[in-house]
Amino acid sequence: MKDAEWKSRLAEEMSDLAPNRLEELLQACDTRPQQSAPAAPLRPSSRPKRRRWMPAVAAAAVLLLLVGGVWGYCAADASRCIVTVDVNPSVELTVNGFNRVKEARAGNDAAQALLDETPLRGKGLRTAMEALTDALVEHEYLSGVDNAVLVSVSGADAQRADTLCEKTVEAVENAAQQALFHPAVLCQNLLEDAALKAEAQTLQISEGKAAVARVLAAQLEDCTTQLLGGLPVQELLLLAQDCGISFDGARLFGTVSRTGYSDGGAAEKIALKAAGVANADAAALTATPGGYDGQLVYIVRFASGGQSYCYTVAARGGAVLEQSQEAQQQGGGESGAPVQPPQIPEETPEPEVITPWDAVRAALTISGHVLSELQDLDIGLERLDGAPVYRVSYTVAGTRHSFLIHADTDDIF
Amino acid sequence: MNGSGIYPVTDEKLILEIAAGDRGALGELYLQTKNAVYCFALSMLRNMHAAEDVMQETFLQVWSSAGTYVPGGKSPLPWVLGIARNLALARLREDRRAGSWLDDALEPADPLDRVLACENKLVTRAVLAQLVQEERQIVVLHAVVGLKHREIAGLLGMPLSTVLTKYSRAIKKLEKLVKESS
Repeated sequence: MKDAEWKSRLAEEMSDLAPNRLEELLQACDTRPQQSAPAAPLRPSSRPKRRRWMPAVAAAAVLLLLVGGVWGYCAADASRCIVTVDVNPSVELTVNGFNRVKEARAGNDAAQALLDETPLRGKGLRTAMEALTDALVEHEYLSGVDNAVLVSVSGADAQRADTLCEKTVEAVENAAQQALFHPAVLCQNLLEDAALKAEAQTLQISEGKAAVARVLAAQLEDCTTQLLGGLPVQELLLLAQDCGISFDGARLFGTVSRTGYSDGGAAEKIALKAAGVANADAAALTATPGGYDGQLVYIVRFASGGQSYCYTVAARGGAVLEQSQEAQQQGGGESGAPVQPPQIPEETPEPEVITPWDAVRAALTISGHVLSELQDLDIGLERLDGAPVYRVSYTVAGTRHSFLIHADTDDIF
Repeated sequence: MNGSGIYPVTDEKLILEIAAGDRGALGELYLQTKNAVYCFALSMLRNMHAAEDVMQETFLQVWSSAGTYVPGGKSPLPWVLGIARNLALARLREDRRAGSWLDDALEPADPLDRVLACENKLVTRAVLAQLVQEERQIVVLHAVVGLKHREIAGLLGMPLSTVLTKYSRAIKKLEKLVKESS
């Protein structure tokens, strides 16, 4: 049914719903005086004498109220704090004491494009956040697959930061609910920290994201703030969720989606398969999370047959991004120079694997469905005749649809 | 007003006549716009009796406060609907305080449910029973009352982009619901 047909059908169905109670209304008008009606004549005899000092007192009271109001307004307006929203676009909102957005600043180019399209200045925080979330959903930065949002409040005391967080989370959840997915929002209150500010400026990311990267880097082996600062917010929060890392003065609302992501165990299997080593033959097998070229990876290390192996496996998609193999040191001797692996694994995935999100998009292009219709979306990376493929499955209107998408080319099988 | 709904374009002269105490003008405005006011109130309250009360009270307030209306060369319908919206919101607040069910779900014994079922108003039923409150308001204001999206954004205090998004999502939901139920 087209839009015009919907409108005319609904208009037709609702054309005669209201009852006619005009008589009652007109009778009720007698009891309701009109504001514009002339005032009743005054009764001079019963009216108390007007006191001369009354106008002066009234004027003073009005002046006092006016000054107090202006002073109160200025005080509330001056009490500004900053709410930064990071998805991948990073938007900084300066909010006054009335929770109104006085300035919206883009932290990167993606955010600038959004703000050009959706001006937020002058809006209430809740309305602004709803509009921003709508825009993020519209431009596919936020979805059921990429559902993480980082909200950082700075320049506010704990109570005000809590209030702002709650308003922000409510607005994001409300807008996400309209798009039929559940968001994961990490809200944190940032204290003044010159070192953090400098670090964020160097990395060209928001202070909030730098704070998250710093906490993670402090708790994860071989990770630095610089390395983790380049990861998308989705992957930072997924990493924190997987490693059970919590943040002081922060609260996570919802669960970070891990659709399309491998965990450490899956990365180990991928690396062993790529090396052609059976699980039983691998010793000292470890998978350590880290960052590589702006994406979350697992560094898988193990030893087998006198060789030590190191594989870098992309958490999203499971592609092997880098591999090395060395002869193990024996009796404190010199380490061997890197050597080529004895066999090129037949099923090593190509590094140029498309993202799970690209696979979903390819499936939607073929099916003609739209993202907001999808329920129970499931994406898995598997192999078909040696080639990596994404299996994208979802339900629309009670019917289950399934697609196999070539992970190298986004072609449909 | 674009006139795409089922209501004629209302002249603001009527409001000025009402302000001057002309009950005939009030009757004319009532007959022209009572269904728009009623449907809008129904979309907020989902209860026929409550919507009827809000409709009557709206026109009483139009009568008493017509003198405060500032003519702007446009249809006064959004002004009338603004009064209805405030009254419906007040009613919702009262009912929430009293622990009533108005905005949460349609009760099986609700007369609304019976009437709509009897008269086979499939789309109306889907709108009132399945859409969330803001979607209901936007769909009714656009499809039934005939307001433009920009006017709806002004009336409901929402960004235009939000109104457009919510409207398009609501229509998709309706398509799905009507397809399923038919």
